Amino acid sequence: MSKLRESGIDLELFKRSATSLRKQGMRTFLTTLGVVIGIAAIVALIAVGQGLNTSVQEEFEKMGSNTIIVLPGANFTQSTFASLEENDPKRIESINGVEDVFSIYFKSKQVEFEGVKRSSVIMGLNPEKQEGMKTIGMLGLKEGRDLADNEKFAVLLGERFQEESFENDIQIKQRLLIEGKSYKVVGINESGGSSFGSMFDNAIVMPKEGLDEISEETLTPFRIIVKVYNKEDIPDVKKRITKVLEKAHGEEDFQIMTASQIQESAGAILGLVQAVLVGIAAISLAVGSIGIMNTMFMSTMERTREIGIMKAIGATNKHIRNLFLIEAGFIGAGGGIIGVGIGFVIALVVGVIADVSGFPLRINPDIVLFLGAVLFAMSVGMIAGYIPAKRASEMDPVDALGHD
Amino acid sequence: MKAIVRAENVSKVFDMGKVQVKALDNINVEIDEGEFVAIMGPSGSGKTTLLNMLSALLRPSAGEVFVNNKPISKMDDDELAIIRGKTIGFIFQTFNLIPRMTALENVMLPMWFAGLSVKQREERAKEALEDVGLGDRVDHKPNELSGGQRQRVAIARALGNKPDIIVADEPTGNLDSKSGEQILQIIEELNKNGKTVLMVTHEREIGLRAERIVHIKDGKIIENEIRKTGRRSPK
Repeated sequence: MSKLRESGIDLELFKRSATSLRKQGMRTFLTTLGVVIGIAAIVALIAVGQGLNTSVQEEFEKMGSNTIIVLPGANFTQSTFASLEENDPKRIESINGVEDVFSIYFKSKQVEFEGVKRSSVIMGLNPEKQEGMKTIGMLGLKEGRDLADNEKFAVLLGERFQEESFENDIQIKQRLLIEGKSYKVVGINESGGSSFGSMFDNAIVMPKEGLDEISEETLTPFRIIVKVYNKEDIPDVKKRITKVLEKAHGEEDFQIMTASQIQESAGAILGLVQAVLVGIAAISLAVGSIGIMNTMFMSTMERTREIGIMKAIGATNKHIRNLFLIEAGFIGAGGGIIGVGIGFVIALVVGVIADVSGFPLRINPDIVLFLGAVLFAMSVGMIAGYIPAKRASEMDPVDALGHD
Repeated sequence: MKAIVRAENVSKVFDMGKVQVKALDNINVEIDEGEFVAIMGPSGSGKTTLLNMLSALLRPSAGEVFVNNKPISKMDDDELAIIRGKTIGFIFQTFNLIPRMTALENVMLPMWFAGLSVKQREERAKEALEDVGLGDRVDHKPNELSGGQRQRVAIARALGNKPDIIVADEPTGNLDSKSGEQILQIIEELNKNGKTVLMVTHEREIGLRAERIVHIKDGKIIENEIRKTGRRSPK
């Protein structure tokens, strides 16, 4: 305690600093704005980043890291228009290391329910593969039952489709009209599953044969999900698939993605977003610290006489310096606290928006992040306040006393 | 009598850019323990500079000032601050209270700098405010007090650290005659109770309240007037 006192730091110092800040309420508030924005950006960014990381990781845990996705088109833009070949699933099935292959087919059709029509996504699959698809989180029944083999007029609904497509929720055993034919709803596929699961979330799922019939053509796979025996084999299996398909197609008009690849690209996007936000945060913190420095300079100028009085009656340079440093620290910390609040609210809003858009994003309060951000803001304040504080502490008492 | 403050061949030159102003010129003066000394002179004579020098607010350009036999010219800022805080109590013409602090907080301030505990600070501050007749004004801010009351708060503040010396720069300059008289009486009382008092004034009538008047003109002591014995001795 005595050491603390020697350095001029004790409770009185905090009390004095707080009082003088309170007296300059509006200016103090405006000064904190820069720090508020900077810290809010940092907190929002980190909270969302953490949420994204958790979500992405959870996705991959559900999806299993032992899967490979084959999609049409040599690149992302082409993938919308290009198609795979009908025999591709069979070709892949025979490749060494492949445990199972799940093909997904896609078509958009008019669907009618209770007299209302709307265009909807219909996904086709092989009913025999439903159990296998459950093992990698592609399917998960919330209620009802699986599609039976050769059951042409039965459908599963994605949970979101069931709830949001029409005015009333569609119930199991109710019927939908697709292209004029009546289909019975036999099951509801759970929402919020994996990213594969969300593929079905806003869709009607029916046997591939049924979808072919409505479409009046033999559809080619929209996606092929390949499950391998050992995830260590993924790079080798990927190479083999590439080789086989390239030979069959005559060119590389497809893409093969692995979990780690998706994770990497998600990470890259996240990294870019983070870099932009870090930039914004850094700029506002820099502006904020200049603001604090300016305010502290003004404050020391205005209080020159006061500094003179304090020095005359026994304040050492350290007392004066610490007084202003702590004041600057308070401004920083105050801005930090407000910034943490705003930043976390922003993160929550982003989380809700992401959730509504079908991407589960869990934003959790992180005490370490909050405290860290406030401490960081306080340090920014103190660093910005150091030069003004030092200058104040070195004022000559007689000159300062003569100041009006 | 032991000299509590002593100036030996002290000169002070202010560097005003192109010109140098010699505010004090080879001053020799001794203030004894328990003495009440007034420094008088016309404006610009250097009387405030001399007071600042003798109260460790300024370092001499040449010569040496001893406060309690300690030479101050080589001391750093903090050492001087400690000497001022513990040995000297200041009373200013413009009171120099801190506006946003209450009377009590103003009085406690130098004791905080001197490292006293909160309890000690509060006890002593309340006692000092009671001594100057402001026991019922402890929570008032300076702007809620009259000039005389403000100066009494300043006196209470000067007494907090139980200093040996009270330094007063025109203590009644901003007061009406009645309040001024009260302040002078308090200062005289302090002197009777053993405090050394060093006061700057330009009013002869106020100077006459001291035991000795040091007359200064153009930075030089021109007369050392001893009042108690009625003698006038040339410097």
